[in-house]
Amino acid sequence: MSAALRRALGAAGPGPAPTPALVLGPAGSGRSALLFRAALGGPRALFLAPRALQRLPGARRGESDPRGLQRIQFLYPPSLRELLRLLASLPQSLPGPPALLLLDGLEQYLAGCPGPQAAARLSALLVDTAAYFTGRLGADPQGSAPCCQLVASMQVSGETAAEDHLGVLQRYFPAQCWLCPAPAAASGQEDCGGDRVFRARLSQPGAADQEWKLGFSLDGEMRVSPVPWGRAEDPGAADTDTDRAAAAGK
Amino acid sequence: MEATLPAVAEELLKEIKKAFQETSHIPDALLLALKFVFGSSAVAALDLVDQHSVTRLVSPSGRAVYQVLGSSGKPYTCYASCHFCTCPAFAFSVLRKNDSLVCKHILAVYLSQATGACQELAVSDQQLASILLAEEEEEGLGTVC
Repeated sequence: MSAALRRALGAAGPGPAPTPALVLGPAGSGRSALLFRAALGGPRALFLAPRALQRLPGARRGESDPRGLQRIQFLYPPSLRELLRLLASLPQSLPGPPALLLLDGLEQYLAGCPGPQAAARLSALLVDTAAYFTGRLGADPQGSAPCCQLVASMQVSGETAAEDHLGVLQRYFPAQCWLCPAPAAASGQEDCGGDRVFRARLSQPGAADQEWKLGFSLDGEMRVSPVPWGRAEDPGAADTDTDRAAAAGK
Repeated sequence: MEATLPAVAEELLKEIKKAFQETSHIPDALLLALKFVFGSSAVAALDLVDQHSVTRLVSPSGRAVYQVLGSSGKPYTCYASCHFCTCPAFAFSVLRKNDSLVCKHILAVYLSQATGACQELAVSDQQLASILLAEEEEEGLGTVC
């Protein structure tokens, strides 16, 4: 799993080597908030999205951390074509390499992809851009980050054509974080203090799955709490396929 | 290329590299193994390597991409850090049918690295960006809704 995403979810201890990660979930499940939290908690980040954020996701209304925000560069390519051009020419337009490359709203760009090769090109170009930044970071002896991590988010509703490309995306994003609505009784919503609760389950080859609860309070703040190991392994509490189908049906 | 191949394929490419460094040719046993692992792409990829069809393009920014001249003379773009090729076989056999590990152009990149047959060419940052985006216009990419 991407170390940046594990950090955003409050994971303790070293994890497996960072791999490109995809955050998947229905509307309102906190995908943007999770990406934004990853950007705030780490070194220099580049945050890409099809349009400007209306407010800072996952933070209380009117609340922001100016120091954290200074480390994030926001760019808003409005179309797939603009995004591809931006990624291909980023080395010329950025002052220095970011240690985190985030793309929010992948489904909106994929809507413009006519087939699997176009979806593969977008995914591959994202991976290639992050790999290029990793090379630049490694060449800088003063650099504070060993590599540039890639995390993208995508809305899944079970109805969009973009989801046809999931098989292609998984080739390029070996780590996936599924956000699924948590049943109130099973999730212990009161622990999160939120009105909406989702389970975040991280999966990647060669590592045990990990699970967290994301609670969203009325003022929009996201709170994260780990699900105990035994509980995450309980098939009744973490029936991933069922959850994914439920999430996709929302 | 840093993309991940199955362990057996990676090991095979390492053995080919080692054998080629020592003897300047690839032993028949390794050629057979190559055909076993990569199927019909293996012979076609070796032909491309023999014809010095693989060029690594590098820009002043340090970004690199591979260009492979196909058997028809058409240039295809292969990314340096992951498996992606602009050829139709990659779209059909690798992405859609999932019955090949890589296309012959990506395998030719691996083999040209193993045998030192890869040419290198310096291009401008703008040229490299346009090669990364090859065929974008043909695919008719739309705008975000």
